[in-house]
Amino acid sequence: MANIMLVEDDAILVEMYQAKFELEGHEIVVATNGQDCLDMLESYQPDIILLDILMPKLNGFHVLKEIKKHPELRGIPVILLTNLGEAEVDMNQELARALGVNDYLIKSHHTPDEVVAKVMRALNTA
Amino acid sequence: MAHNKSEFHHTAAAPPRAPARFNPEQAAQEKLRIIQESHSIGLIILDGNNVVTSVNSRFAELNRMLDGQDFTQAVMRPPLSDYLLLDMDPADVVKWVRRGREITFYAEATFDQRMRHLQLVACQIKAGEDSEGIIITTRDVTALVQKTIEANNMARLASRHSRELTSLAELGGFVGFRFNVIYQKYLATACSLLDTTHASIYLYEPGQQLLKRVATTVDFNEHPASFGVNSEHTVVAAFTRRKPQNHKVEPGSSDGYNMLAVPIALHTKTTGVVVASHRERAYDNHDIKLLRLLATRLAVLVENAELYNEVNARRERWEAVFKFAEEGIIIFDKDGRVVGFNPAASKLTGFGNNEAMGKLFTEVVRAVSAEGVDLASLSPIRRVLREGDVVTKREQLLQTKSGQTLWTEISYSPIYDDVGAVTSGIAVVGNIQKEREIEAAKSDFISIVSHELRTPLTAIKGFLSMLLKKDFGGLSDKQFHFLSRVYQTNQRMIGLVEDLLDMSHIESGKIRLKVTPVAVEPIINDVLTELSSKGFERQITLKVSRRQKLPLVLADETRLRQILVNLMDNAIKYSLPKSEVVIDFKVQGNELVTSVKDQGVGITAAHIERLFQRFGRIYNPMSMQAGGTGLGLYIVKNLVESHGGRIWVTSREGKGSRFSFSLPVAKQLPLLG
Repeated sequence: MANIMLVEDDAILVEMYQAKFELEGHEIVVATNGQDCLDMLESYQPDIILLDILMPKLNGFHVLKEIKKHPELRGIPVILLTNLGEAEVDMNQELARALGVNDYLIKSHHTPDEVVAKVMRALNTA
Repeated sequence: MAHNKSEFHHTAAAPPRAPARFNPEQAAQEKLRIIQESHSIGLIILDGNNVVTSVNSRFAELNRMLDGQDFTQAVMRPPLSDYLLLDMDPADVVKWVRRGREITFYAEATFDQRMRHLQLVACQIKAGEDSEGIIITTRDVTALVQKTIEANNMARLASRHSRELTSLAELGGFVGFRFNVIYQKYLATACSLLDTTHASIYLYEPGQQLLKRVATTVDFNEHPASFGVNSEHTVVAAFTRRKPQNHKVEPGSSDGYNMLAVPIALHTKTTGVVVASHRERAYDNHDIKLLRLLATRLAVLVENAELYNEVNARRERWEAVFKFAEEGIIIFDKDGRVVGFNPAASKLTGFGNNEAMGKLFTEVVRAVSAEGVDLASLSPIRRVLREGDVVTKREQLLQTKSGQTLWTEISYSPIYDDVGAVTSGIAVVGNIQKEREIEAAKSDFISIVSHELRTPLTAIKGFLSMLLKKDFGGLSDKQFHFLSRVYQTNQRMIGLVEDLLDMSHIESGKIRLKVTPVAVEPIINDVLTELSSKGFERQITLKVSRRQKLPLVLADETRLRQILVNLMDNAIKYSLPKSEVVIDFKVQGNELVTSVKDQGVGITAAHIERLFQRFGRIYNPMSMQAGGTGLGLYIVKNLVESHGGRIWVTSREGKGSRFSFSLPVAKQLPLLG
């Protein structure tokens, strides 16, 4: 069992991932925008963060930078989960890698099952 | 002192007279007589009082009429003056001879109904210091004079010909482009050569089937303004028969006039007729010859005029194109300096025509990078001028005179001279700023839409996958089947969105390749595994045929996988059941060619053309049932080409198709740090 933080603004996707992770027996907390995420991280440290990029208030990259700056949070693995177009992904992947992201997933390419598998792999290698 | 007449008097008409003062021998007299006869020489001897004491010529009348007469008077009076015409007064002759001169004079004598020319030489007969008389020898010089007259005539004719030739030669000096003036000069020459006042030039108008008068010396309508080529007229006949026509007025006829019409012809081409008319005298062969000579020169002139008009018309057309084209047209010389600059070019670059002329092309057409870096050194004009390269539709950001930037599309071409040497170059600059903006907007739009589409598609995919995995309870077979169908459909929609995104990225140039040395075969094996279930469904065998160790290629692994998935998926889709799809390889120079061969329906030649175009499959009814966006091959082609490779297809209808693409071989190990 892992403690997972999902940062996602789309309610339906939240419901979907939540259902799957809970089914697999994981604890999941949800932040619906970047600012919420940072606020919540002040009092709660998950095992892994699933982070969307395009979000209201504060986008995923800003959140990521804040996390990596924070000495206590820096070690938490982060998987970027996005539906940006390939070109943007290409550009962002470099940035993501530079920022120490563990994985980079395009949501529409993966079933929740596969996302769970990626999460578990990231946790095992971390 | 008496003349000795008897010695000289041998003709029947001149009987012997008084006893001779001299006594020459008989033989000598006989000799003289023979000389006289054979050389037509006569002798007239006058005494001291100018009385003819002896006359001896071939003409009996002369002998009779002169004998015993005063020479000076007899020759000037009838009857002798009717026969004889002297060119000197005989009194003068006698006077000069008596003063010791020898006088030669001439006479025209008409005896036996024939005119003869006589040369007469008079000199003194002297006995000691005293003058006894005058001896005049006469010689028939008719033949000589006639020869002289002939020679004179010939000289006169030669002189006339020389004048004519000079006139004709002068025609060559009439150069320039004021053809009407030159035509008039030709006519003036024709008039003077043919001694006429009426001359005209007609030229053929093929469009109207008319011979049209282009120049004339005639004010009134005797040379009409035009002739239909089917009408009957000397002028038309000269044109159609291509031979000079000499129309002579019948003696006594009241109407019409002499007319000479000569075709204006060069080589095999007849361009018109030059005509002279209205002369009392009929034209003769010499006139024809002269007018033909003139017509030949005229033909050259007419041809020049035609060429000139054509060149002029062409120049005017090009000038109109140059002036009104929406594209900027810039012509530069061998040194790359602007020598032609149209209004559109002014509008695009901001430089006025006067400012631009003489400047370097790169100073006027200022290529810059998106960051504003000057790219003049990358200008292709040097290549165009030196190598004769043609550059088409090169997209280039320009900086205008005022510093604004503008997207343009520039084509370059060398300009050659007659012998194929590059003399200059031309650049055609199109403004594609609007297209660029529209393209960018379209690309953004597709990006946004795709992104927005992906989220709901993700939800459908995710929920369905959980249901199908029976994460939340069992499903009836029907439910499972139907949900699988929904899942497949959704996958297609996801694929479509991916294709659209790829297309928009290709078109906006946003695709960036991460090229590394890649092994092709493991990727192919991955793809085969991925597609094996599809193949299995349709009982299609997927095979890799490899005979040698394959070199690494330079490629973006993800994109290479995408290329292979597309081609192999297509091969399966269009294969007939229970057939084979074979992938094989060939190393060609620095490239690895990978081919995917199916035994499917094949592609018609007409469809092959459209195959790699956007939405190309729309035109292929066969493929409608196969599903897909019609963007797959378009994307594949662009991906292959952005790797520096090529893609092509060979196909036989009903036999199958073979898609091949090449990728550069990774020759060296990458220089990694």
